Amino acid sequence: MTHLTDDQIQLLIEGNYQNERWMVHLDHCHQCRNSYESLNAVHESLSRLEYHQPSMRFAKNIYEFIVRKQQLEQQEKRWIRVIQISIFFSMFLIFLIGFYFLISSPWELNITENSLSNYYTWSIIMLLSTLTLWILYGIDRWYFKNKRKSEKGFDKTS
Amino acid sequence: MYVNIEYMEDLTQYIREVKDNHSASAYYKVVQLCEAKVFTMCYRTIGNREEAEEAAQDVFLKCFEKIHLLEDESRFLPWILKIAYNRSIDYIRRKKTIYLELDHEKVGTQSFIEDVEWTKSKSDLDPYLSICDESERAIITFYYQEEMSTQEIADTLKMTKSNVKIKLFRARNKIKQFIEGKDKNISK
Repeated sequence: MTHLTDDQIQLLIEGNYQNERWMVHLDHCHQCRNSYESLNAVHESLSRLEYHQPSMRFAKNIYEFIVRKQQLEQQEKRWIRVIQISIFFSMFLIFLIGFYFLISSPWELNITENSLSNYYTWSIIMLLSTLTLWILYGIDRWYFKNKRKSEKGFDKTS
Repeated sequence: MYVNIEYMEDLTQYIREVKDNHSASAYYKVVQLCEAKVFTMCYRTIGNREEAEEAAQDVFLKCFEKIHLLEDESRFLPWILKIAYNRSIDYIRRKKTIYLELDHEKVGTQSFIEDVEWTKSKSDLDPYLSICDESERAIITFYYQEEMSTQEIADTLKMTKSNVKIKLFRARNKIKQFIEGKDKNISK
């Protein structure tokens, strides 16, 4: 019989494949026996490989990062909800006041200059409030985005 | 893939909690159970401790965001180890490009010898593992430490079963030749 190939020796080492002819050849062939034993030694030492452990704070760092991110997201949601309610309320007031003046039939009753200027004043106040709230909302979104971006990288010193 | 039954039950329970409630404390337990496996995969592939830790942290964060995509909780370990391997390969490719651009002022493929020299110079690994390339080291980790079959490894790494076997055999031969070469030098 010719010498065993590397693949044949590897299959014997893994123990998944039994071939009596090969085993008999190994008993009689010094060269194949040496190859088998050296490959088997490699196989044995690889079987004893151990896990490597990360640093002590590894899991804690990940946990803290996730918690911080969740807190930021909740904070953002709450703030957005407040602003959305305020915007909705102010828009509602504008339409309510406007509607009130409309149903008061301006072409029948006395629309005094005073009442009209009051309406305009109120509308401007409401519009300005709405605009301010939208600007605040925009600034906040930008602020939270930047805060989230800076939190994305890990603080390696922690 | 063989793992302790109790370990798997705990892991599955925590993963279910994370999927249902997006619970950070449950995920902390998951990380504690899997950190050694994921870190070892990253470390064996990248070869540097600090960089492997960074990559492993990225892997866990990515998995937390994507955990809702995992249908079967019992497949969590192969899933996260596959992500760890892919992430580590991306990391190496990015670093290699930077290394080539800065030191050699060329961008292109490296020859095998340059690959080995570059890996050995940057590596903290035992010398006999750094002789193998990244995919061979990953296969060794999957085969010997995670005790996955060649078919499972092939499914995880999207290779054919015969390709996995060839790489495993090749890795063993490389290590054997390296050790025999070392012994010859010592005896001289």
